[in-house]
Amino acid sequence: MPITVFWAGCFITYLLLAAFAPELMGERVLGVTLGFVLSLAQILMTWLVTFLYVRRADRVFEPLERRAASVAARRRSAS
Amino acid sequence: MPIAADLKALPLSIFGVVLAITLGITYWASRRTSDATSFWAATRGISGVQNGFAIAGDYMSASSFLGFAGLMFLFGFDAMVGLMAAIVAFLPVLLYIAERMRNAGKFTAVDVLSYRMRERPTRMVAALGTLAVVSVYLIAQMVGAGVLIEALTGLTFTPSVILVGAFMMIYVIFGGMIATTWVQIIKAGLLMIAGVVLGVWVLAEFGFNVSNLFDAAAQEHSEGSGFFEGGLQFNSKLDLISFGLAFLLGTAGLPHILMRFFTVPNARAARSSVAWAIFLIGSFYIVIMLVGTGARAILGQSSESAVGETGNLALPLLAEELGGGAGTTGGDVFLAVISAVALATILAVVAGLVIAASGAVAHDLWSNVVRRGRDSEREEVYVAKIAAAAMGVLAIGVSIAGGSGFNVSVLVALAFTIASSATLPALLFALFWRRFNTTGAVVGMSVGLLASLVLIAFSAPVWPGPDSEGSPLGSLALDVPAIFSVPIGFLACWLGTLVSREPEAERRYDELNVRAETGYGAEGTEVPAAPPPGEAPRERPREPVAVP
Repeated sequence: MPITVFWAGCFITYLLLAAFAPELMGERVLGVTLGFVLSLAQILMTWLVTFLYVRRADRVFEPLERRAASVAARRRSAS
Repeated sequence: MPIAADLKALPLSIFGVVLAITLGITYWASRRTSDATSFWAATRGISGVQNGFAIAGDYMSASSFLGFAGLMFLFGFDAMVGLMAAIVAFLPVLLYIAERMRNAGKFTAVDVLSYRMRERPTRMVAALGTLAVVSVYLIAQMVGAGVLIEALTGLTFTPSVILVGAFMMIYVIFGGMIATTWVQIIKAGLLMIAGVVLGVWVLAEFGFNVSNLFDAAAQEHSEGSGFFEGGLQFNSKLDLISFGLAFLLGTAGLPHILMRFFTVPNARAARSSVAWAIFLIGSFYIVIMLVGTGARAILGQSSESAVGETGNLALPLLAEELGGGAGTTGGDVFLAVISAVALATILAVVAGLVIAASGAVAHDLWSNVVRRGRDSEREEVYVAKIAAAAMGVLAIGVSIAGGSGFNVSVLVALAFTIASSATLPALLFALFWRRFNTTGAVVGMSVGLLASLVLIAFSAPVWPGPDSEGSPLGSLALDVPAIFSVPIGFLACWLGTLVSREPEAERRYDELNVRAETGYGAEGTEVPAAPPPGEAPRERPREPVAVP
């Protein structure tokens, strides 16, 4: 849930900035424009969220899922 | 009618090589394609990495490669925003859709919906939604392909469209999902290589100094640094936001992308395949931003008329220029190579679309609505091949009849609008809202579809002119009306649900939830701690649910 707020927040902020602050996007930062930097940041943000989620899913969610599934299987064969 | 105006031998021969390789793959795949699981799900034997490449190949159409680079060349920053919406869009797919889809469905995204709803009405409406998205997107791709191949090889529009259509049908009919997947994997590989070569080459031209590249690009645009401020492509701020929204939410509703999750063995592989796709597509989009900027800096203002209204030819022209210029051997070769990559790109996407359409017709409509699940798998695959052929012929016919009169970007906007307003709301509610029911799904999807069609009919590109004069929506007529149609789609699902109660749908939701979250009973997986034989219902029972 917090991750949803994080990625949606990042993207919506970016979209709103792009729409309502065009001059700011043309501002030069380190030789390139701020718009380009923020766009790169969106890709990096996407990679980061992906990395965090996949790691958590592999380590935490999947063992839980396996346990839940085997409980469900046992119940079904018992009934 | 002339078949060819001015044939260019080099691009055509490289095209020939690409086509020959894909035919070889199709032959190999055809010997492995027999039942429905191999036809639609490639025997669920595609690995996570392979599927990641295939998703990237399925998703990055010619509009990602040539289209966005062209838009970068023409409009600068606005095109970057479009690219970012298209990559961030994979986060909802990764976080909420991919694994649940793999666990709960069989061949099509519609399986997940109908799991807990009354099967026939849900499948019927959902399959129509799928067909709407797929056919509109397919025609967009084919028209784009025809124009492009004409410009690149000299083959005229009609034979170009027939060529693309014929190969797409061959892949799907003979090689099914296995051939489609490998065409997409190879295409993704070619695209990444081409992108990196172009990117590095452009940067080398500017001494690997991105700052110089940006200065040169701004100098070559009539708006100067306005090139990097945005507002050049879209008429209004609302338009930009709505466009971003359509890509963000539409991607998770694209049937040909969702279908790819059934080709992997389990949810873990589905997850890693999205992660790979995100990595590949993200890297490619970084390259496209640089290359598009490079096209502006190198080709300059004087090439604006040569790249065409949509900018589609900016990249091929840039390749020619980098290779040494028009008429030189280097220029010709590089141009031909980039053109061949573009062709491979188109073929992989249209094949994915056609196989998704065949799933909607044969699996959803024929097998489960018409035959109520009583047909054999053989029959299902047979119908699927007929459907693929019919869809191919229809798409070729419509594309030729409409010709280049179709506005490709309107069609793409329509496809994403329908996907985000009709498919996605019902899919999300089905997975996450217990109270959701058949009435809600049917009403939601129909209204979402209708709202998309009506709003697109009133959209700015259909009613050109200042403030879209004539359109009943006036200045509210947008390029992509998703910002209106998406809330309408969600609202219709919600309201439709409230008018009736369906305890069966809620009971089955619990079942769906367990299956989607844990993979218990998912297609083609081992049931953990297997219960005694005969007691584990691998297939969902098809007992008729009481219809009022």
